[in-house]
Amino acid sequence: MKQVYFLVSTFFILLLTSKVNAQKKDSTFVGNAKGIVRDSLYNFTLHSATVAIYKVKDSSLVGYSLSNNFGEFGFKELPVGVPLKIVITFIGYKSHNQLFMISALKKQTDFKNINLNRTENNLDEVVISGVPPPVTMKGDTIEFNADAFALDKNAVAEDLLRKLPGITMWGDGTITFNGKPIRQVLVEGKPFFGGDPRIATQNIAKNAIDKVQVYQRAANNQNDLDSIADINIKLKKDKKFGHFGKLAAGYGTGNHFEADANLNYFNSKTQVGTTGASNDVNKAAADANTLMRNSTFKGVGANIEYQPDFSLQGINNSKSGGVVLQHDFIPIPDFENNNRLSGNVFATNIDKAVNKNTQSIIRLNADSSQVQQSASSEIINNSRQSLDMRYDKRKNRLDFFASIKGNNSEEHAENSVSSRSNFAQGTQSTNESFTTGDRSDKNLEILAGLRHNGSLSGIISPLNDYNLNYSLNSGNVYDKRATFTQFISLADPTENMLFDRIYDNKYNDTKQHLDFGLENVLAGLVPYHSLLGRIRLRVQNNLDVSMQHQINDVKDRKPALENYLVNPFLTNNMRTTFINERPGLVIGRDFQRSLSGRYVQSLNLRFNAGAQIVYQQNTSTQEFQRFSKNYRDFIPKASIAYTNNQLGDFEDSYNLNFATTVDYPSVQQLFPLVDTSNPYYIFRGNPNLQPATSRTVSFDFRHISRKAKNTFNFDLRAQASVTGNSFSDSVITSITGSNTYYSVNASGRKALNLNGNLNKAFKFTNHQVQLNVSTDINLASNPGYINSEFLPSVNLSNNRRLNLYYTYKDKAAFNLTQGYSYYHSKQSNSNNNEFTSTTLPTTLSVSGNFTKRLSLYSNITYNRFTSTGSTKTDFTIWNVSATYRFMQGNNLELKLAVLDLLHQNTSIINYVNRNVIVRGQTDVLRQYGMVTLAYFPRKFGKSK
Amino acid sequence: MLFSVEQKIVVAQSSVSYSKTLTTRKLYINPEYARGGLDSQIFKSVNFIPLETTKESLFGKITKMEVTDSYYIVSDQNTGSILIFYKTGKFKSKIDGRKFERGISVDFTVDQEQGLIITRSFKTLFSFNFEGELVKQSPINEIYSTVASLNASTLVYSPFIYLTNSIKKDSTNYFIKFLKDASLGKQLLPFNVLQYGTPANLSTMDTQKPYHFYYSGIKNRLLFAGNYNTNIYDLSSSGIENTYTLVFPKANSLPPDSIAILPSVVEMQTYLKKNENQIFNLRGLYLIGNSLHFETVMTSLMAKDRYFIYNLKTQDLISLNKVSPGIMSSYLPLLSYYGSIVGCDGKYIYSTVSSLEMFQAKEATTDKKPNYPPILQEYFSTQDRKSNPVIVQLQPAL
Repeated sequence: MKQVYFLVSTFFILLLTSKVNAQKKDSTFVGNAKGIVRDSLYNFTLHSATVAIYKVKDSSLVGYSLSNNFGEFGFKELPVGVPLKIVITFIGYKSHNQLFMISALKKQTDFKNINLNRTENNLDEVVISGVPPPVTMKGDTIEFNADAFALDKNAVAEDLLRKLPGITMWGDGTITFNGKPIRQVLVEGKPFFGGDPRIATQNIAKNAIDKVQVYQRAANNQNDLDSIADINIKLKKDKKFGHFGKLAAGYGTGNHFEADANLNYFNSKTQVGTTGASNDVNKAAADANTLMRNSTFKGVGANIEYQPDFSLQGINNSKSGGVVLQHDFIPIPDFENNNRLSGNVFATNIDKAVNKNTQSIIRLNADSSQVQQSASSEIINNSRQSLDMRYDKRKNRLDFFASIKGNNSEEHAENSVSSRSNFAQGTQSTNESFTTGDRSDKNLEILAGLRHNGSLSGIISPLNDYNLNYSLNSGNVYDKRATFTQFISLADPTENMLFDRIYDNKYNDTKQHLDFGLENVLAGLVPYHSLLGRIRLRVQNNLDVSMQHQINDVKDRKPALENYLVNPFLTNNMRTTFINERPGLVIGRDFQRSLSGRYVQSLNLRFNAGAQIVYQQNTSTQEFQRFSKNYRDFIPKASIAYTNNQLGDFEDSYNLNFATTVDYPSVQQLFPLVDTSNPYYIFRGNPNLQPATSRTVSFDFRHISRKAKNTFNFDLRAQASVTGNSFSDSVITSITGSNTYYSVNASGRKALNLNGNLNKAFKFTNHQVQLNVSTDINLASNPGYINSEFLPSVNLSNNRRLNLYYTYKDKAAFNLTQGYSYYHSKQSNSNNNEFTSTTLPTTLSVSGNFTKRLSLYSNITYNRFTSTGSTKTDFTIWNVSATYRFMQGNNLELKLAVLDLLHQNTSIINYVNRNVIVRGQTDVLRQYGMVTLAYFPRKFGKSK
Repeated sequence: MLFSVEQKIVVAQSSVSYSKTLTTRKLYINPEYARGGLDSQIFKSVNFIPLETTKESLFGKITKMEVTDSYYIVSDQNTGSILIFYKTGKFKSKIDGRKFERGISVDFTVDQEQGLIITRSFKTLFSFNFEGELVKQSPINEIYSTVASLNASTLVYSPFIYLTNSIKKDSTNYFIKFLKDASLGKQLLPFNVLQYGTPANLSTMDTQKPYHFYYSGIKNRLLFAGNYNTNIYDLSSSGIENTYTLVFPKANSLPPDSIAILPSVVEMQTYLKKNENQIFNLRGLYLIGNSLHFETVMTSLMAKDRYFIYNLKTQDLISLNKVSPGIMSSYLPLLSYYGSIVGCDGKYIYSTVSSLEMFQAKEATTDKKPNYPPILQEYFSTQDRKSNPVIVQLQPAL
């Protein structure tokens, strides 16, 4: 373990000395300088001393370096014939300042031995005169002093990070240090406004930063070279509080508009952010953090921009807002001590209008199919409020958390659908329906958990590793709607139907969950060296108790009658109790083989002898819905995990899992209230439905490169499952075109999934390239009956994605994405029921900074859709924008954007569900131009 | 509490107890003022001995090392084995712990006079010859944690304090015990077993740990260090003899009554975490001529100086961590950054460097164009980062 720190430090130094950050080079930058830093009094060389070279004229930093294990430093590409100053600093020593000039003739200055003198009081601080040293090593931490890096006065943390040797800001937002991904970016040791690194790096002014610290931590005890890294941004003493945000408003063609407001305040213990947005351009945010992430100031670097979602159906007018809070009772928490309250409140209101035209082809058998055409228009108003508060405390290896989550959603929807059903011989029936409804959904969840992880002394004892979690969830749904449906059968007029129906349904449910696990049950009870002593035994239990109360109140009005009368078939008052108890005994054995400094290999075997006991009871005013059922099932699980960690080289891990799961039929599947008001979908359930048992085998393989440069990672995953008695549908299509669905148990449900990912990164001095390729293949056989004939369908889908990021310094960013989706479906026992569809989107995004204030951005996406039985569709979305920043602090931004420049955006519906092929289009957001003016209020610390 | 006042150590000897006052010499050590130098200024010679890597001899890292006239004998935790190498680094034989049902202890010792490698498997003492062949075995009463050979057929050990709920009796045990021909002899440093508590009750567990013994460089004498203090004791067949008390600057010293005020593991560990620059133990103790070698143990991983050579005559203090590799050592590391001196034969001290570090150092110093001795030339051309560690033989200039 100790070696880790040595190697890490050595690596730092090697890297830093070889990478002297000489700026602005020209033909006069041909001088070299070298020397050795020593403590002459005690006769030794000083390692990791900071050596910085400045121009005398303007005190600008020309280069810096850390002395190596021999106390040596060396600089190349220094200006010749120019007065320079060398400043050497080291903890506990007086700094050494010396003026020098490299002669244009010799092009070299050799300082030989530079002796540093100790400070008298020997403080653990560097004695600084003038500019601070750019970089300092403190054990396993490297510190960059922000003030030593001259940047544009409007630069943010991200711009500074780009300048630091070893740190790479990738095109996709990932940050790496010497090739290793940065796990988190902290500010003053804490997550900053929810922990998204961009909120910190794109907002915090470079001038507010005192130091950027990179901590390296060993990833595992035996590991010499593998480590994980965190970045901590330390703010200047007088900048530990501040505010930042964005106020923006835009207006565009077609009366399109957008407005954003985001204001955040922080101090050493508390962070509060408020945010709000309103627009009609499909920029709907799911939570406050998304809004905050999209309102960052951004400094002077090139960034790929946040865009409206052009694929969203319909026109969306959204308003949203929220508050984010984090309070740390410990101002600077660490790994072992944490005491934090965090949470957010968020509200959204979305008005959505969608007009949709679809055609569904229902394949019935080899020579017959039904075609349904439908046109719908939908107006939805959805308003949602959520609250999420969480308290975390960690002390002495005990973690405790408690959280409360609340949700309230109200939705009003109006929907009119007109459908027509045809067989080959012509139209059978038409159906017109109009629905208007209100739904409210309230949910409150309280969670608390406890986890104790090992003991300080490292002694394994049975009471040291345990976890306990409890949750209580209470939900309340009120669903009120009115439907008017008119079904006209052209084949048999006696089948004509007219429904004028109102639903007034209420659901209340209470779910409780309790789980606990106790590790190493045998530890301390049996001798370690005995056979039992080597076995890992875990006792665990999961208990779910849910109680639901449903009141369905449905009324119909007959034509020519005034009053609505209770529909006795669709009305009930029902209580459902569902208890699911899953005790488990996990038996395992761990094997480990390691060779210091070379490899660690481990093999972990686990077998979970799990059981599931289910009790289901239903009482209802409808007699056929009264039942109680008991189930007992053995649900064994087993896993084999093997990891091969070749230290400093790569880490391979293999996992093989086997699991059994049992699904139990619900009341709705067994004894539903049968609603016939939509003749194209009548669901009847099946009282004899049996539980479905699935057996799944999965395998995954992951390769992670542990090399410092140009890392290469990939992973593969395969999963196969077979379900016995699977829940399937049996569809009966009548001559009128109405469809009745029954739940049935069918054998032969099989699924196979394969997926893979590959990542490769290249870094050159000014260029960075990152390549990501991913693919998945899914093959499934779904059994089912159509008009009593067993007709399983076989589906194959394949998705591939290639992503290429390229960044050039902080000047330009390019992103090329190529996607490919393939879907093939075939119904067995018939010849011609095959369907194929492909989707091919290609996107190129380009962003460039032309001056410090002007930047241009453009992205273009070319989409191609093909599917069996229809002509291919191509369309291109091209967006262009230009931003210009005003004022001294770049606080004011004017943005001109033209979106969907080619006016081609189209929303294509194209999918298959078993024997149903659905194609269609909806209306979408189309071409608009917009002028946006944004103001970024921001201040860190007090004004001078 | 034991050792709270060093001069009153009670030495128990079989049935007869007596106490005696030990002579103590105080050495004032300020790590800040330790000097460094170039390898050739500190050492007479530096030799690298790569240990041969074969399928059979591959091991992790050296846990303990004993040096005889003809062999380097090393133990390795990873493979649970003891390996015997010729002085040239060539592999000779191995005692494979995996062949024993309960493995063998990597804390072994060598009885130089009888030519035996002695280790234990659970409660049996096994003696092997240098061919790695089992010569004899004898049962012992308890499991030892650490063991050393004091003189021909006399071993000294520190018992493994087994924590169990079954300890209920108020009885006496000893931290140091002598074994003469596998039967219990002298017992030193008594303690009350009840003080050790039970594992379920960690807060009452005593802070004492087993003692590690080091060959003093003088025949039939061993050195060992106190727990949670910076005393060094000299052990011979007649018992504990001389002591050194190393006095460090206040910022690096535990409070004198630390064991009394921090009696449990949890309290002590919490304290040491907060005061990570306080030296709470010494290890790697060797005496060569007038030079006392010792390593300081503290929680901080950032301390620059750990391994010191102190001249008892001139009071000159050298920090091994401040010694720069130069031409003598071909610019290769003299010890792993935080590595210890693993052995001493009275003339040389020995450290060990992993092949990973050797190759890294080689790559980092190509610009110095080092002139490697033939053994290293061969090592660098035939071996790689995954080969066995290299022994560094250092001869201090006295």
